[in-house]
Amino acid sequence: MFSKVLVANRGEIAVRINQTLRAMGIAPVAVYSEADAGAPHVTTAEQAVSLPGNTAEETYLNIDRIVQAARDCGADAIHPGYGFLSENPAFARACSEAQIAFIGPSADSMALLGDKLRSKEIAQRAGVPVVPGSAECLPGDPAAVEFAERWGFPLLVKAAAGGGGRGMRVVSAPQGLDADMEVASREAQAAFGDGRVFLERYVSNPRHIEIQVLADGDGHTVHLGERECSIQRRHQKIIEETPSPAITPELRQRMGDAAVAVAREAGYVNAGTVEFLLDPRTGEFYFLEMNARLQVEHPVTEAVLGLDMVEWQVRIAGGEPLTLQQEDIQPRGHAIECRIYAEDPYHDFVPSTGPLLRWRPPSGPGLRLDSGVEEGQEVSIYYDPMLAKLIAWALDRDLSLRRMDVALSRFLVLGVITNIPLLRSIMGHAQFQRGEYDTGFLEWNPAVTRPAVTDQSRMNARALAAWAALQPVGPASPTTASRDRVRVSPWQTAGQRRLP
Amino acid sequence: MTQSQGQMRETYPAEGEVYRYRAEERDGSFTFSLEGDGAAGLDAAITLSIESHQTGEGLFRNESDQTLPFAWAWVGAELHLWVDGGLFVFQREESRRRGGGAAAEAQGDILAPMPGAVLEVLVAEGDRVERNQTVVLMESMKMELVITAPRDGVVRRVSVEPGQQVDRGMRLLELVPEGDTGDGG
Repeated sequence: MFSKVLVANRGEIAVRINQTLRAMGIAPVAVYSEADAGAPHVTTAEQAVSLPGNTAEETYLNIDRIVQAARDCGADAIHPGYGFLSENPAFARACSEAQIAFIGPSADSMALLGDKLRSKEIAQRAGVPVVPGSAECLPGDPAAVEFAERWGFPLLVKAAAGGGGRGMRVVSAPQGLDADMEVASREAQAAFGDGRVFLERYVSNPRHIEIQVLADGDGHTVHLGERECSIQRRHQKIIEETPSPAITPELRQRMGDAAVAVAREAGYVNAGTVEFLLDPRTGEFYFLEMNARLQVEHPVTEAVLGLDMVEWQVRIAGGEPLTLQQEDIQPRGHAIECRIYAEDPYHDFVPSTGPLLRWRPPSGPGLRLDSGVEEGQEVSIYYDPMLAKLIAWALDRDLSLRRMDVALSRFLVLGVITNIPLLRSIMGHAQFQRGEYDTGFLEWNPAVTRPAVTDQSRMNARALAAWAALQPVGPASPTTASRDRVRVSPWQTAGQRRLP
Repeated sequence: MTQSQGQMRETYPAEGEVYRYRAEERDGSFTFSLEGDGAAGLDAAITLSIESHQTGEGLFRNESDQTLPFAWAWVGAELHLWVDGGLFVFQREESRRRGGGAAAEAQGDILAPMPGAVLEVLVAEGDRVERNQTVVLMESMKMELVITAPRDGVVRRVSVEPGQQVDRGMRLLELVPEGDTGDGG
């Protein structure tokens, strides 16, 4: 097994990987940009290497520098996390050329699956239905026009190298097609260094269901059940849960089998996720893509199965056999994840930046927080605005939703605007509570993206603001309102400090 | 017993409602008379007992005898208040900068909706633009943002260039109605 692993990422996922590595007796090494000096992913590592600069290209996307850092510190392996270089075959190749193990699939299967066009061919070979789509095309291409004429609008522009909602656009009318293809292409070029785009039929209001798979080097492949990720904004997931309220045991087995078939057809090794669109009306599902990496939402699967996905990734990459058998994989209870974003849910999800003046996440039974920030840290413009993931588990869905709602209501963040009120509105929404939702949920429920403040709550807030505005600004000073109760926050005394 | 009064503006999640308040303190209980320009239901008097032992954090008991935590912090001239699981932002009305925000925009400035980098400026000074025409491309947090003209007009001034970092609310360009270019030409 490895003794030192470099984590080529930042934020919550790097922190989370560091934790597993330490538990396995492996020394985690962090890399960090100038803006991330002293960030939690650095302080939770055993060693850290600075990457000059701040932009992603200079730092977390810089293959040469990262591989060099791994060489310099004597790391046996690199874990790429998600995003950044995690699905970049050139990175995986550079690792193996440097005799450093890459914790993930091979460069070849990554190249195959990372290409949304080629991955659809694999699914078809595995006998799994796919969404109708065009070949690669350029704005103004006859192929694009022909596809648009055949399937009509709206249709989807997708980047062959896309992911995480980037490089994707819904086009509602012919006159917007060229412009949207150009924007998607530019976005994909900037994010992935590959601007190829294609068109796909727009399946209206599907449910987004994905199946987690694990496969070892001997071809032993299992699936770990589904995650439902239909609550999305701008094609990016914000809430995920497992089991899905839409999935029957029979459907779970069919989708699980399909996912395993795709993984086998691709010769896939390590953890991967096969994404499907499910038509809730017909129960038909279509292969969308296979993500050759750890998913953001993997903790919900971990919660119901009681396993550590990163540990399995590391063990498989280290050549150990996958000892899990399909019949041993029995989920217990229900888990839900909310992504906490620094963004304004009431103004087109515009990212919010600034200092995290207060950051007091909740804790309690069945709760897990995967966080990449701490109080006092600056939320910068350079990276993704996701601050943390909050996961609630309980024996049944009603209870895990309630746990989540209570936890969100106690999640104190000041300094940046977050999407927490939106997440609460969704938790409280009757349709969501009944499990009747699809990827159009926010679109069909615009009220959810408008402030839901009661008059009473607003009046309290206005009174408290008037009161706070009268308080001295500066060091702590008890006010005249002091009463018999004394409140000392344990966070204040035990809080971490930012390192220089 | 102490008394104070003032004027505040709620800027989030409401978009700029001014309210006047009068506060009266008696043994840690505060009675607030609120009078706003918003819904009539918000013109009321409420009594809250408030305690705070540490700047920025406190507990309050409302009239239905519930005790709830709240927290606040100043972010520049903005008072950010966390209460009831939600965020509110206020400004002291007297300290509010004149001519900013909506006022400037009404005059024809197109402002950066978020901090980020300017990728491309697609118009030049003197160009005639149509409503919804793309004028600037920005990038923030890996998202590309397309800035469009809010109405027809002529570009009087371009205030940014590609590669430039801009703050939220910074002017990208100035748009004036056609025939109002100010240069008589």
